[in-house]
Amino acid sequence: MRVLVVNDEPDLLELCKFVLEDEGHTVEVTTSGHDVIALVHRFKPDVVLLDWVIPDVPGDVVLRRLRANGAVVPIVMMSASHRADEASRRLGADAFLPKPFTDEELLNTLTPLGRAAREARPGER
Amino acid sequence: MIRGFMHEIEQRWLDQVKADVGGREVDLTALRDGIADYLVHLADYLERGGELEDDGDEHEAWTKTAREHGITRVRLGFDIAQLIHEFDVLRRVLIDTMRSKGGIELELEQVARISDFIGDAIAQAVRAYVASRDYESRRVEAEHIGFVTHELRNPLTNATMAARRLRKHPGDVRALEILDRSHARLRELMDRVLIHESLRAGHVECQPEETTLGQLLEQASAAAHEVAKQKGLTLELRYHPDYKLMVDINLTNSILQNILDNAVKYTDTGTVFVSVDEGEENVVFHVYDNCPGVTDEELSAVFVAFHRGPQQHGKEGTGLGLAIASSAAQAQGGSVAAKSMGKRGCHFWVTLPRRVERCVASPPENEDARPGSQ
Repeated sequence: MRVLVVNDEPDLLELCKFVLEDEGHTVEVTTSGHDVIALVHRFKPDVVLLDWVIPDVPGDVVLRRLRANGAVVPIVMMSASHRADEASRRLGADAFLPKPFTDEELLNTLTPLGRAAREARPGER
Repeated sequence: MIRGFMHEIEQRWLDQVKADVGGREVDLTALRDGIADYLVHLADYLERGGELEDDGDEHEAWTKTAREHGITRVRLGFDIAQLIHEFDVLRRVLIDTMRSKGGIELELEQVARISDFIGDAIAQAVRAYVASRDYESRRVEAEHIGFVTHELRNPLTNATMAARRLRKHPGDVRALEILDRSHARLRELMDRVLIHESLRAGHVECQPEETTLGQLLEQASAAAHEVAKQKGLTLELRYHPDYKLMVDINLTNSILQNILDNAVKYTDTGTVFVSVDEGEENVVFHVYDNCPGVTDEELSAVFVAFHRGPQQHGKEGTGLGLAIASSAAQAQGGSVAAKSMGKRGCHFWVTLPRRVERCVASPPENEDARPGSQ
C-alpha cells in the first residue's frame, strides 16, 4: 500500500513512516499543504493521511482542493480536535483519526481504506 | 412626581457613572441599559404608593429589569461594589434632581420608599450578577482546560508512538530522541500553565538581584537563536552587555524569552531586531519582528491567556507565553505592550524599572478592564 502523510511536525512524520514501513508499506511525507495535489498525481497513494492543522495551507483547504480536483483517493483526516471529525467528513474525508493515537490505531484506520482503493484499481491487485 | 424629570435624572446618573468609569471607552447603550425603564417602574410604584410585595406582575417586570442590569454589568467588567454604587448614585441623583430642578423636598416616607425600591433592585441585580459571573467563570475555565488538553494531544501522540517503537526496536536512537522531545514539550506545557496560574493568583516568587543586560539577554535569547537559525532568520540584538540593573532574574528571563520566542515563531523571513533603551530609571526592551501585519485590535488580545489569534493558525503553542510575559512584567512594576507596523511587522516592548525594589501581586485577570482602574 502506498501512503502519503501530510503533517507540519517532522517527528510525527518520522514516526508514521517507521510504523507504516515496518508493515511493508511505501510512504511519502510532506510538511507542506502546497505540495499535496502534485504529490497525489506523482506518487499515486492508495490513501492520504492529512493533518487538520498545517501552517501554509490548512488541512480542510487541502481536502477541499483535492476533491475539487477530482481526486478519489481515500483521505483520513487527523486532528487533536474532535470537532474536526464531522467537519472533515462533510468535506469529503473517508475517516477521522483523533490524536493521540497509537500505531495500531493508525494501521487499523489506514489499512482497510488503502487496501480497498488498491483492489478497486485495475491491474493493481 | 418624578415623571417630569426622568430624562434629567437619567442624564445626570449617566454622567456620574461615566465619570466613575474613568477614561475607558464604554458602550453607552450598554452602560445606560434599562435605567429609563427602571425609572418608569419607580414612578409607577411611587404613584401607587404600593408595597413591594403587593405589586404582582409589576414587581416581576422591574425585578427582571434589575436582573438584566446585573448581567450587563458582568459583561462590562464591573465588580459588585460598582454595581451597588450605581444604584446608590441613582438614589442620590433622583432625590437631588427633585430638590434642585423641581423644588420638591421629598418627605421622609417617600425617601424611605425610594430606598426600599432601590434596595430591592440591588438585591435582584447582585443575585443575577453573581449567577452570571459564576457561569462565565465556569465557561472560561472549561475553555482553558479544553485548550490545554488539545495542546497536550500532539506531544502525547508522538510520545505514545515513540514508546511503542522502542518496545519493538530497543535501541532505536531516533525514537528515543523523539520521546525525549515529546516529554520536554509536555513538561513545558505544564510548566507554563503552572507559572501562569501562580502569577494570576499573585503567588509571585520575586527576589530582585543585581545583574547585567549581557547575562539576561544571553540566556533569554538562546532558544530564539536556535529557532531563528533553523528557519534561516537573522536575530540581531543591540545592547550594552555591561549595563547593570536589579530585577528578578527568573521573571525577567521569562518575559524576554517569551517575547523573543514569539517574535521568531511568527516571523517567516527576514530579521528579528532587538534594541534596548538603557535609561537611568527604566529599561525598555524593543523587539521588532517581521510577522505579517496584525491589527492593533488583534495585538491587544495577544496578552490574554489562552488567546489564539488568526496569526496562530497552524502554529504550536499554549497561548500563554505573552500572558506570562505581561504578568511577570506587572509583578515587577513594569509592562509589556505591542503595536502593529502594518506589513512591516509588529513592535513589542517591555518596560521595567531599572531597580525593582519590591514585587507587586499580579492583578486578577481583566482588572484593567474594570471601571475606575487605570
